[in-house]
Amino acid sequence: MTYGIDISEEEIRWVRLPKGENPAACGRILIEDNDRSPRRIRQVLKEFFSRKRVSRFVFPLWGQGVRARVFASDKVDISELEDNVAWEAKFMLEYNRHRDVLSFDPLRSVGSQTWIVAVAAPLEMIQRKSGLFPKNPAHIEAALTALANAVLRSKWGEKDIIILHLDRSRGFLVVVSHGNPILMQEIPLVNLKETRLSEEALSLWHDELKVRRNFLPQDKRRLDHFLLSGEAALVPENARVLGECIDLAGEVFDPFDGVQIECKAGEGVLFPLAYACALRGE
Amino acid sequence: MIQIDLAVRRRPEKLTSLQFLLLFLGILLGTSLIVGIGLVLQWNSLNNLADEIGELGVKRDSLETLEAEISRYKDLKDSHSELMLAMEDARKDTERRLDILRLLRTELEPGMKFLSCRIGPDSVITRCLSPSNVKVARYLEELSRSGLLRVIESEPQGTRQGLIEHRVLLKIP
Repeated sequence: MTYGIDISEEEIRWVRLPKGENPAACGRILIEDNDRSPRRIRQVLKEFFSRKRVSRFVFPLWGQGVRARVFASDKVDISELEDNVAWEAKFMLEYNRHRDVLSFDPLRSVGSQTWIVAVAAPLEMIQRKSGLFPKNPAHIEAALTALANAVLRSKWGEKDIIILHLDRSRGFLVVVSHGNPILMQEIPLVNLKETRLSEEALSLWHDELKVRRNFLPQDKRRLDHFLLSGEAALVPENARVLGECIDLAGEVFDPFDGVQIECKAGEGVLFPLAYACALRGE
Repeated sequence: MIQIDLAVRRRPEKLTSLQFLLLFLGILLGTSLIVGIGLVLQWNSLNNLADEIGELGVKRDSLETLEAEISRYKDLKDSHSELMLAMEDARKDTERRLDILRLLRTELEPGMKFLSCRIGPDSVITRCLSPSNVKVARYLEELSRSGLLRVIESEPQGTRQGLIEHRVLLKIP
């Protein structure tokens, strides 16, 4: 059984996929306000691993320094493709082989072009985050690609959608078009004071989404839906209002839609990252 | 599904009890094996040393025998040298006595007769007969001139066969 374990600033979210007689399950472990030190998180995780007998897990990596990019390449030969990746990594992701770890994955081919996703992250950050866990992870996923995977595995996978995962102190934006992610960006300095977005917050996010949408190529700006997940999606009204800001129908994104899993009603929106990580480990 | 993997493998932080036990047993076994091999090698080297000591003992006995032989040889050599010196001294003494005896006979004046002589380490006593005391005087003068003898005294002892018998005392210088 693979666990997907997502550590946010305030809590640890985990998802376990079914295997044999063990049903799928998910859960949240709150981290007290007065002690969110790495030592405390390490202790909580150790207790969790011991209690659940976790042997295999995947976790999403996020934070300053984790960069993702999707690009198209017209190269067919693998060495030429790697040259393209190296160029994009160097100039677009500012990849430094002495400092960062780079991972890339060719996605689907459209016409003569192959879409590729590449992610770079600082080695120091990877080691620091891995050090919170008592065991080695089976994989380390980037939170952005995890969110993209969660969408692609859902009923929204083949549509043109923009999804915003918004927690109290972190935000991820992913645009998916015809089964391919075309934009993946982490939004820095997020500070969501209330679960229900105020007028002021809505105005800020309206501008943020418009700016981010402009990163899309001209021919990809026509989207079908706006999806919202994370703590902001605990209030469904937020999704509708934010969707209207960019002239799209807004809905909350529940990754467990159509999946049999023990989860409190309405809380599925919190788990797209953990769920995608659990899927990644299978 | 996008398959991005940023995992970097790290070493396990702690040894499990089983790993620790296996490591301990491995170290114990390895140490015992090394010590055992060391003891066997040491035993072999000790045996070799004992053999060498035995051989050295035999050589030492042989050398002691040789040393005794050499000592005896040196004693013999010294004795031989002493004998050779004694022989040389005796030969010189005999030659000296013969020279003195020859001198005593050859220097006699006509008419004189040599009776006897006794040669000591540093003196000679001789007896002779002479028709006159003048001839004895000339005889003593010739002996002194030879340098081998020095006349101390000459004393007439009476007459024998119509000649005067003289007893002469000479000093070997």
